[in-house]
Amino acid sequence: MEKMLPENVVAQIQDVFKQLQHPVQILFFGSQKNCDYCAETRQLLEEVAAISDLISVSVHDLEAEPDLAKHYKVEGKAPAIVIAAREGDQITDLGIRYLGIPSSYEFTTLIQGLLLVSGRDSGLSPQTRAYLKALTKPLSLQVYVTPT
Amino acid sequence: MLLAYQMAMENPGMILAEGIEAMEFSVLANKYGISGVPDTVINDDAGRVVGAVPEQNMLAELMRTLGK
Repeated sequence: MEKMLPENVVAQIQDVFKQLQHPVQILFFGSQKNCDYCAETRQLLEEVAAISDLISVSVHDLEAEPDLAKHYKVEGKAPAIVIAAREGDQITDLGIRYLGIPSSYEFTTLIQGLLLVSGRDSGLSPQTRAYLKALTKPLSLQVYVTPT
Repeated sequence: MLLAYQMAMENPGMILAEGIEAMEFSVLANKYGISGVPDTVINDDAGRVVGAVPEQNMLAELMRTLGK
């Protein structure tokens, strides 16, 4: 299949990925049903992961792996991307998802998300950290975007 | 978007941060009447932050929505 990422973009990502610190696991969830962008999203993630040894991608199917989809709260949502921390075989879910194909501006968000997880530090202020750590009820943050 | 991701990292057992492409997931986007982006829907529309805002503004909206 033809590459989605042009060589100059790969070179730029290689440069940015020099900042990667710890391993990152991308979990891709696709579906055989009504998923217009699943194939492209999967290919894009695999091309990004191929750029660095610190980034791995595993490919999953919502219908074939319903328990895993439920575990990661992505049931019925394809394509879904989970950006998680990895130490050896241990994957740590950090609550980070992207639903859809991360194209154009959102491709930058994907790269930033990988760097964030790789750094293992939110970079937030002490006040925000304290507030969030003290939460005792679930918090859902859905950030809607469009690929413009 | 990145701010939501940063926040989730601080308490992933409690916080789920989802970036959602509004055209592909139009049923969800229509449910919340998304018109401009980014638009952050907090706890099924208990709170709302339109536009990209600084950390302090997002924190203030969380405190307003969830309590301090």
